Amino acid sequence: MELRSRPAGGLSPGTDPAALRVITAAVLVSLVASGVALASGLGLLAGGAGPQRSLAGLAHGPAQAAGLKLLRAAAQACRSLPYRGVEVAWWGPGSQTGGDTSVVQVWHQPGGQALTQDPGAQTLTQAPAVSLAGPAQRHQPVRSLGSGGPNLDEAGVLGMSTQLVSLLAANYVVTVAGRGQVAGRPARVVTVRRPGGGVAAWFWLDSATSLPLRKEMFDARARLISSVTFAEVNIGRGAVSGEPVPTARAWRTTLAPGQLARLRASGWPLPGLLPADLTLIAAKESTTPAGPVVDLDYSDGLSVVSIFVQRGYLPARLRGWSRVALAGHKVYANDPDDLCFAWSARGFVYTLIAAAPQQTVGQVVVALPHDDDPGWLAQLKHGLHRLLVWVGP
Amino acid sequence: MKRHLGERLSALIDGELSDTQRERVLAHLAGCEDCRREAAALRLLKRRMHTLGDAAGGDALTWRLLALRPVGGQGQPARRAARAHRPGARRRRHAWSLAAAGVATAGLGLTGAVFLAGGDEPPPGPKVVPAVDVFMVQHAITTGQVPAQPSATPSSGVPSLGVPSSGTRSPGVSTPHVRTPRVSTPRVSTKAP
Repeated sequence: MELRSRPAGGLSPGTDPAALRVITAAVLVSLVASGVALASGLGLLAGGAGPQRSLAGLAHGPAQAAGLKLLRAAAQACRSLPYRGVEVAWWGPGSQTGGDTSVVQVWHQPGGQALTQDPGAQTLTQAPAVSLAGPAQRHQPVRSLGSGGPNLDEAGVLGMSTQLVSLLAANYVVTVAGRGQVAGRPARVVTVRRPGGGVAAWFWLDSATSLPLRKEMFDARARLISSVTFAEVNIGRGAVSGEPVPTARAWRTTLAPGQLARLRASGWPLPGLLPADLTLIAAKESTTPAGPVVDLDYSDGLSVVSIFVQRGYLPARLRGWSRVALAGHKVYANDPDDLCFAWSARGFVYTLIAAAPQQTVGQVVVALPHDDDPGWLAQLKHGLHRLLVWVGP
Repeated sequence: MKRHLGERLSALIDGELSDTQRERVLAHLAGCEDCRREAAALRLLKRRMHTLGDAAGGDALTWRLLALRPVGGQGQPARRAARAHRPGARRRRHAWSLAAAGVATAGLGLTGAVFLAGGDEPPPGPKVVPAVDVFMVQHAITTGQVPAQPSATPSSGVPSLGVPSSGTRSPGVSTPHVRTPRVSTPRVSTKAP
């Protein structure tokens, strides 16, 4: 006030004590602000649990914080909100067959997991013309397993958890992109980018409740590999009725780190980390007629890879499976589009089921043990040695 | 009784008699009809034998026999060819062939046995067929979906598929649409979040 009341031809700012104080304060404030901005840019203020590796060139700080805040709210919504809806999922990692499209009904009660159910053959019969525009600009028939079994889509359902958000924060850069609309509901759009800057996924989160309404995933070449979206959704306590009965439950025997260590010490190949930033998020155990089986689940926040390990070896012929070459190794494929592979090596059978880009699956397959072909000369040497042992004393 | 020439006739025809012996034999032939007939028969036989010998040993056979001779060798082809045509030589050659074939077969069999013996021995543990249906359910649960008992008809209040049927469309229900793969600006407003 005092400065403004003085005439312009009065004391210059350089000599006025009050002006000097203001200028000094302004300089200090700007220095502090620059420091904060610099520290934010270097990731020093990422809360200690920030990215463990360099995410150079990508937005950090407020933009990342805003995106993560939205995703954490989405994880909370997934856990606490009752909702019911119809999800349409397309999954086409190979894209040679156009991918698979499926429709599931979803129920969720607070505190539980989402129940999914195939709409049923009768419902589909009522709408025989059901088809979805696929990625290759052609119509894809909706896959329906009828009433004979569950409709399990590799793309999963629209879910989020705090654990996945933490992994996303460690491996990706999350920013808020804007607004959109899904199933008639306004949504916030969150972009997940790779360290190199490429888009890895988009999330559409309900503006009112933060519930995920749509998710699209891309591979490293920025090709769409999966899309899950609510065709319709009802949110709220009164929306959930006629909830079906779950037909399966997760294996209850979870393996603690100490148990995993003991299994590893006895020869079980149970890696804690896999390529493509896949971290072990869960380890469970169950028993089959062939013996115990360990289920290892890995994720980087977006992809989920499950590896089932059990002692033994695969038969020479596996009915319903085909022999394929994957990342230079011969494995059995249950269905290439399903990304379900099996092989045996060094006394253990591995069954891999992935909701991940094909490149990621290839990296994982390479990282796990395989019995390589020794070649005919080595086999001759081995046989000669074995025969000499048999014949000799 | 008059003595005939006997073996001396063969010697005469083969030219193996001395001059004195030949004179005596010829003198005997002049007065002995039987010996003259026998001598004539012997000459005829020898001539025929000679003719047969020429036919068997024609040029083709000669060149084949010469071809068998080692390069630079000093052997006598005719003698070797004769030796090769002897039944004993053929039998020996056949035996060698059989022996070589036997050795080769045994070698191949032994190599095959060694190769097979060098194959992977069954690893320890049971033969496992992955329970992929069970595993897929567990994986689905991990990704957030728990399969539920399907119902034949949707219960009341359960949302429909949201797919246009018979030209009608439920209000407020969007048609499921999976976008084409592309990376561009998402369908969002450009307004700052």
